[in-house]
Amino acid sequence: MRTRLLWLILGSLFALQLQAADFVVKAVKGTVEVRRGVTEEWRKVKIGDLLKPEDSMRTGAGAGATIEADKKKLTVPEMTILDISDVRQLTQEDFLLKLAMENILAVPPREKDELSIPSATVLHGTDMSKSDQPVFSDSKIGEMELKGARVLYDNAYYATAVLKSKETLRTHPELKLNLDARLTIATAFEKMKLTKEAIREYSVLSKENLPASMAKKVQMSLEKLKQGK
Amino acid sequence: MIIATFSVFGQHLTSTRGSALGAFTALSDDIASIDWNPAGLGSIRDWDVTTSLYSAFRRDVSSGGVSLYAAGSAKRFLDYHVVAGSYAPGLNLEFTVSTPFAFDSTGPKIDKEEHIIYREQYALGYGYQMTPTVGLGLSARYREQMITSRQVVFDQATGARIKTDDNTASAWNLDIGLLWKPNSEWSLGAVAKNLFRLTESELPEGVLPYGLRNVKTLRVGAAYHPSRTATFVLDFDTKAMGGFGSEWTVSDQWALRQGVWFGGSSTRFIAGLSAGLGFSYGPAKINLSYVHFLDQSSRTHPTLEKFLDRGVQDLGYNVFTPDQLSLSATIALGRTRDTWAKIEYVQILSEVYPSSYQVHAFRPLGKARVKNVSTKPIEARVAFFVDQYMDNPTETRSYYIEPNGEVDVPFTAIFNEAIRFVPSMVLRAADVFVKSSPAEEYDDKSQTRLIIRGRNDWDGDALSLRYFITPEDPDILRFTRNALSEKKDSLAGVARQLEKFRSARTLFNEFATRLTYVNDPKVSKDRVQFPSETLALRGGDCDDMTVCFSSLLASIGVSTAFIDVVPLQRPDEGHIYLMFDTEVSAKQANIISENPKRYVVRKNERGEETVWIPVETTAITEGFLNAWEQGAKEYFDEVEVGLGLVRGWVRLVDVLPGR
Repeated sequence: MRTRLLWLILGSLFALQLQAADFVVKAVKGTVEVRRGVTEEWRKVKIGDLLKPEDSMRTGAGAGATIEADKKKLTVPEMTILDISDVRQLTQEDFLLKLAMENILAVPPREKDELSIPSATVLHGTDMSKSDQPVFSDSKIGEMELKGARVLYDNAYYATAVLKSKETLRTHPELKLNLDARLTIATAFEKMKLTKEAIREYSVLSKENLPASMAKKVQMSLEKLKQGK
Repeated sequence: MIIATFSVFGQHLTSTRGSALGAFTALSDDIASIDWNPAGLGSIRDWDVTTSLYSAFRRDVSSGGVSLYAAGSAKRFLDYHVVAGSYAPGLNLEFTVSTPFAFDSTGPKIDKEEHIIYREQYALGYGYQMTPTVGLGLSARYREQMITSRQVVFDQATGARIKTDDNTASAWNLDIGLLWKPNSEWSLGAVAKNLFRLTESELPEGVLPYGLRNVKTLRVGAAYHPSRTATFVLDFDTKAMGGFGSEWTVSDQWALRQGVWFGGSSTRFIAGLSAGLGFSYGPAKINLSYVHFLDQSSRTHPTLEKFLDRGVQDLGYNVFTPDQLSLSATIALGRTRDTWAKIEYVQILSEVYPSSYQVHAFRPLGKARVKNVSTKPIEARVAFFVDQYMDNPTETRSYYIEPNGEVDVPFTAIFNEAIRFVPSMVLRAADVFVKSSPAEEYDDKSQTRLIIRGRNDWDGDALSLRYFITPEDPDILRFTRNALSEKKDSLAGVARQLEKFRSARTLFNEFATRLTYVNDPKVSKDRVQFPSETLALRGGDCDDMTVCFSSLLASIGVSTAFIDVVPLQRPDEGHIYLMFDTEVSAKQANIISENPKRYVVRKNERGEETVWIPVETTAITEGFLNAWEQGAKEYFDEVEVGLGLVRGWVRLVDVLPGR
């Protein structure tokens, strides 16, 4: 157990090295909460509280907060969920790999020479594809996470902004039509000079029924990117 | 006129096949190579035994019947070396030179005689196959000369009397040969005859003119095989003697031969013609040949002048060689066919872990480098066998190999059940064979050493850990059945989509009440308990607990995955835990937890995203929720924050229940 604990401590130190330092809450307005690590509860924060990378921060309606670390200050608007671990820069390689995480994480198809692990199933799971259960997804939470992604974008954390936006849209399919979030993704790619990815995002977006101003912006960005390609 | 006549027909043309062809230097491949070209001995595969009979024909003398010419044997050793020896009682030339002597023109005549015997009865040969295409050879022939002079001697006491002088000489004559087969169509040979001479005794000066001539000569030959059925051969030497001929293979067993002989001090360019027949059946070969010389004058009426002028250099073929019929029989014993493929070396790629022995039926256990040592392309297959642990050898597919080419042939192994009961590590001899078409048996065999680990041994690879999972084990089934039966009431009210999650939680908590985590890395390193052992021992280390819980979940149809963490800088601090598939849709993840850091969303084989839960099995005593929380925290730190999965120091190894 001692080795285990040692490992956990070393692991945590290693993880901390990869990200920004802990944030300190500098200003709070309204209901601002933090969820520590993998716990379930949200607890109110006050000025001076320390936010660790594994923590998440949530602001309620009409609320807001300012957090700071290493002279970097972030303002979190109302109705936002922000994962502190996302407030960091990623190398382009790490970013692209994380982008492919969905595929990396996917259960691989069985290899042809792989041995079958026999199973004597006692309880069978329900075939969820045929389930008539209602979808419990909390779209509000999704929207708050997208706002958190926007905070990341506004503070030039483009890589984590894209990752958070994409993950949220994936886990909250009902938000697929959140055009602002998709535009954030496309422009973040553009900012990161990932032209091919940006063109792809803009192209998909241009086929949607966009408001006139957004359509114009998307079209201009597309042309600019294609010319510069 | 002084006439010299043969009294014995003791000569031959060494190889019956060669004498039918008229040329054999580039084709020699049997014991007769001792004389024709010792490099040809390298073609002998194992034991060769031969014997030959001959009958010489002279028009002026009645036939001497059929006599044993020679018998010999050769043996290959250490793969590339061949030694041969022959005894040739028939290789014997005898001449009688008679000079009539008379006291006066009316008195009785007395013959003054020189009786000359040449023998080459013993010969030794050595062949060395340097490369598959190049052979070298050395032969030593023991030559004896016995010259008996009978002459009339006068003295005052007895008057005239006959005095007999016996003179003998012997020496070993050494030949060196070379044989080169650059491709399947051509063979080239060269032999230097009488290159060295190791003298035991010499003839006295007075009878030297009657002695054998030991002239150094170089003979070169070529053989051309334009097709499988035709062969053309040519020999030529520095004494302007030689021959050319052809061989036609008319069936698998029969061959026809004909040859033309030239030079050899004959008055005509073409000295003789020959024909022959060859028959082979399995390892046995029978050859018949007949040689007819066009110029019979010196052969039927040899004169002393010619004898003294030309002399005899080669006991086999000289100006006095008569027409002759030869028959030989050869049998190749031991390994009775050519080797086409050789195993250069064998490499075992991994040790055998009984827990995952079945994987070797699909993944190569080792590889053999096979070389084509023939002059033709071959198809080679490799077989592998371990006595006691395999019922039959496994055999690979065929691999095409060019002449002189090499190919690495990976081989697999199908072990039997006995391997599962190996208690501790053992070392076993494993046989590797190579067969090449159209070979009937194996061409070459090599033995290698195979390490078979004990049934609980583990190679440290999380991938191999899967093979310790035994969901069908009766102990596992009993455990899950009992645990779920005891909680059936509480499970009955669970929403359908949470069945797997709740069952897993129930099993884990039951698991926690009965088992204890034991951290003893010195004892447990590279050793994994089978789940039934962990249950029986009521505990285990991180690997044992992970495997056991994975087996329990697999037994109720829950997919699991090992999370294998090997920090780049500290591989010794690696650890393993697991996550399982709740089969709850990602859209409904909030019914599992509102904190996404507590679960992992993964796409299954059907493309559906489901919620997986990481569990630290070593936190067993703290109950399911704590084990989950700890597993989730580790996963978040290592995968989400540390980027271990994308950077490769965290690996997921899926354990999917059989379908």
